[in-house]
Amino acid sequence: MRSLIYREKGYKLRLLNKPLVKREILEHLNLSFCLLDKPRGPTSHEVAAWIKKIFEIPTAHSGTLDNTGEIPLCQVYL
Amino acid sequence: MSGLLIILFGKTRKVSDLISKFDKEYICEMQLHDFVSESKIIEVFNKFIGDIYQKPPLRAAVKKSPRIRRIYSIEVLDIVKRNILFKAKVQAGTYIRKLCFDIGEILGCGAHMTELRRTKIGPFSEDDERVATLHELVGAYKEWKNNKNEKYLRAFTLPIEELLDFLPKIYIKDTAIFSITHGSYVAAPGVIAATNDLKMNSYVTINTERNEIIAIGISTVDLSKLQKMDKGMVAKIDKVISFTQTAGSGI
Repeated sequence: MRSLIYREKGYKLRLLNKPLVKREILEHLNLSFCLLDKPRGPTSHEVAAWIKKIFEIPTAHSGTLDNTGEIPLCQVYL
Repeated sequence: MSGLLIILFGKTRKVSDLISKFDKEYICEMQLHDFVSESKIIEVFNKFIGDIYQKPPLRAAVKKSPRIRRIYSIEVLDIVKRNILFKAKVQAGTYIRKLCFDIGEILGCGAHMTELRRTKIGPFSEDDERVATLHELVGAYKEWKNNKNEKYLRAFTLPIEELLDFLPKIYIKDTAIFSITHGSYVAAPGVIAATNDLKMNSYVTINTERNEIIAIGISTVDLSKLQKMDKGMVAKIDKVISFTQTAGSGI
């Protein structure tokens, strides 16, 4: 189990995997990721490019899903 | 060919090299080029558990020289005539199409992959209710753009903190945020606490008291040393993630 080791006494922190403060939606989007169920057909790179076009923010994917017929790129920048 | 894919937005792209090292789990269908007995198939599949040499295919993003990849588990689920359905848990960078080809070579008859689905990437599984299809994701975005309803978009887009939860964390004081996001290393006086999985020379996330990640660092001390320190370097900064924190910016 994970626990906190304090360097200084007198503090109390909570271990969370989410920020305590809810970010504004645009700031949240820029610091977020999504779990996508990729359909058959388009390449991982194409899917990332489509989402970038629709969302109008820079988008990348991690880990090409099978490389046949595609030249994989890791990141797509605007 | 289908299945789980992690899409990174905006500044989250900076950590793509960290999360591309996640282990993956696949369900795969392959076809043999001749009939082979079931016992022979199971025997050959079991040989592939453990470290294997694999030469990346011609069309790959990496150097085409043999490299070692670990197959954590491989399990035959079904055999119908020449078709085999199996599940494999593998190290990052293992080519499943190549694995199918190699299994065919060992069986002596040849084989090729016919269908592939990724079911897990590191801690994330396709059963997760937050997994979105392309339609759902675009629908959620349009709902926000056109009707100003953020609910669905927030349901499908998860914060970077959740993605990097597997890394040890160092919690810092608000007074240290400015210097760390502007090029300074993490110094002991600014550190409040660390998670107990902190080791020396490993990637860590630098979090605020409200658990927002502001940077990715590389630790230069271990836990026992950190507890005794009152000055000096605790971690080097590798990447700064966020300058614009919702809180802690009034320094």
